[in-house]
Amino acid sequence: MHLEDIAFNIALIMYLIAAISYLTAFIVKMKIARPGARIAAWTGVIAHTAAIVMRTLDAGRLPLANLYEYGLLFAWGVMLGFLILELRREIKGLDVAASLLGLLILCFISMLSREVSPLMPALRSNWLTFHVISAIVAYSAFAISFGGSLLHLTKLSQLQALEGVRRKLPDAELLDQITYKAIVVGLPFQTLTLVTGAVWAHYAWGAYWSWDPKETWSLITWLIYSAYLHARYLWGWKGKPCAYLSVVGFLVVIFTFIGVTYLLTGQHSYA
Amino acid sequence: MNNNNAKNDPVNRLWNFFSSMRCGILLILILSGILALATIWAPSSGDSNIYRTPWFLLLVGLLCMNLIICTINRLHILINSISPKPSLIIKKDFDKLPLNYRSFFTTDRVTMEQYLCRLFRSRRFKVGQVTEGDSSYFYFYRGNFGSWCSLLLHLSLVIIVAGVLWGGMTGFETKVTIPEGYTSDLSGAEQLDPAFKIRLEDFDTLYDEEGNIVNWVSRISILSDEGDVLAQGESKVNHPLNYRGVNLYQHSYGQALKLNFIKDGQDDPQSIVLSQDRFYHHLEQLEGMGLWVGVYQDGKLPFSFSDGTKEVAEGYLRQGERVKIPGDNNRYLELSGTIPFSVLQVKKDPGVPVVFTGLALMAISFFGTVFTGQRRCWARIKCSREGSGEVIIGGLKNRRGVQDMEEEFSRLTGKLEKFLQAGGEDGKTCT
Repeated sequence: MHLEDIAFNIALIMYLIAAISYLTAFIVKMKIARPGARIAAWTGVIAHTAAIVMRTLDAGRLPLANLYEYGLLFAWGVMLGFLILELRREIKGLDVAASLLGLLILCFISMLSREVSPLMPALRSNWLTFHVISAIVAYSAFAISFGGSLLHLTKLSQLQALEGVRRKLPDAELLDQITYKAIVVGLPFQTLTLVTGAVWAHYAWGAYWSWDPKETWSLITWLIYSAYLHARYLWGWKGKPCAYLSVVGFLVVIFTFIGVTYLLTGQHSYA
Repeated sequence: MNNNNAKNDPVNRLWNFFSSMRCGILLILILSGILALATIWAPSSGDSNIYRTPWFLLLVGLLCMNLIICTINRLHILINSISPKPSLIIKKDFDKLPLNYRSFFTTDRVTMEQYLCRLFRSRRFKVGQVTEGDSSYFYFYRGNFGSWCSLLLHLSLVIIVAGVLWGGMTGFETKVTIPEGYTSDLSGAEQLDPAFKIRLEDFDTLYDEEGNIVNWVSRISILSDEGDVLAQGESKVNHPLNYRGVNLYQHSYGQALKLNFIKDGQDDPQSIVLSQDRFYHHLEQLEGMGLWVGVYQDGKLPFSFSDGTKEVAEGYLRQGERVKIPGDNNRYLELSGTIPFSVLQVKKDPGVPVVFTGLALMAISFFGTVFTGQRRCWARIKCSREGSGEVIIGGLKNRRGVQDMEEEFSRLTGKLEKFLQAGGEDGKTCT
């Protein structure tokens, strides 16, 4: 087995252990659960980083060229982003959400081909690095905002069945702030993704915008989160309406990431 | 009464709604929905291109107009912030703002005012002050850069759309298919001034050490109408050739067929280049006959002749072989071989610099907007007749950005509290 595959599998297993441990810590008061979860999560991120580095060395380039490589970086961004946030403050519930999301992404991409393929001529450009890395940062931030919104909606929910979960979650105000600040970090990078993409497309395809499905859905993502910020600024929106809009925004992100690739044809066929 | 009538006037109400951010948000959400549906159900090219329909352009136009009007409406606030007017400094109900602090002091008023100004200036706030009777009003502000960035961000969107429109109205685009060694004539394109021709000198595929395709390169000569070489260069994927504002992009490539039409008794055959897997029925050399040529594979080319109603001959041609063209003639078709061709996208878009300027402005100003939050506080110092005074400070929470205004407000009022508890600098009573 390739070293990269070993590192990938270690990351996958560690994220699974982290998710279970965070969930255990959330449900029952077990002293070692949370510290154990943190150790597992950080070990997973280190192994994940090793997998990325090995793939970079193997391919002779950063892993940015196809859905598998993008998913690899996306999951890494989500986990690392969350763990850095956790260094500042423990956020019960978000730890479960983030580790589950990282795990799900890795599980999804583990079904894809991991073959290192040479870059197509259209991808042989420095813009690839700026464009994809901006997207990774943006999507990772939106993923954290998604976790925050789901927990926020749970906290505000009136369902009796969720009473136990609601009691353990942090304040609604804190969850709202996490969602908001994650979007505030993500949206400028989403802007950068659109900008670098447009400039690159001008040189590669002869058109800075051609209503390609991936381009269009990236724009929709940008519009939804812009509407979120405007609603918050204009009406001081908080609570459920904001949380719903944030959830919709992330569903659009997932559709852009996976749905467009498999359901709609366009020039981004390699992504 | 007149003001109420004006407000209730339908035109005014429509204008007020249209120029509001509420309308902008609505337009954004409508546009998002339409774009989502368009990618799934509507064509994005050809005559039915949804993105070129009048109603779609109208929607985008409405959004742009909303952007411009909202920006202008807020511009006067920004200009006012450079040198705050008394109307901004003396804010009604500032003591009811989300962040507020109230305390009493017994030191003299001038000392109190000086301390307050020094305190906020130490945190890089700018100060505006107005005195009215026994009260002094203050306006502390910082981070106007973020507000200007927000303005530029909205303007950048308008710049981008303007660039797109200008490019659409004045630009030019076409594709030319040129076999190696041949010339394509663009002299009919009115937007190209002066017009020129393109000769494909050479087409090549570039490989790396492992044999992977790195790029495709077309070596091009730009020729005048008279055939003089005006420029030479290469066009590759991601590296278009630019000639006087016209970009030549490496779009695609292929192999074409080189055929000769030979007439018995004539020494110089007529050479022609045809695409593979295509039917030709208007070639003058065929004199009304139709010709289908297949894909050249394994050293042979399938072909067939038709007389317009039915197939009259078919077979395979190898390189160097000739076949008689059906009919009462002495004409032959000979396969000379294959020849590479390059498809170049020729495009001129004067709007690109404008669009790119807008994009750069958008990226930079977005970061400036969210990472430099505006902070504003108001304060009033009032002396009472009994020799004491009251200080009230009100502040706004950040509605934009990541910085925490509440923390800063706590810190500032904490320091003020300590100062007041220490009785001020000289303990004089309020006068």
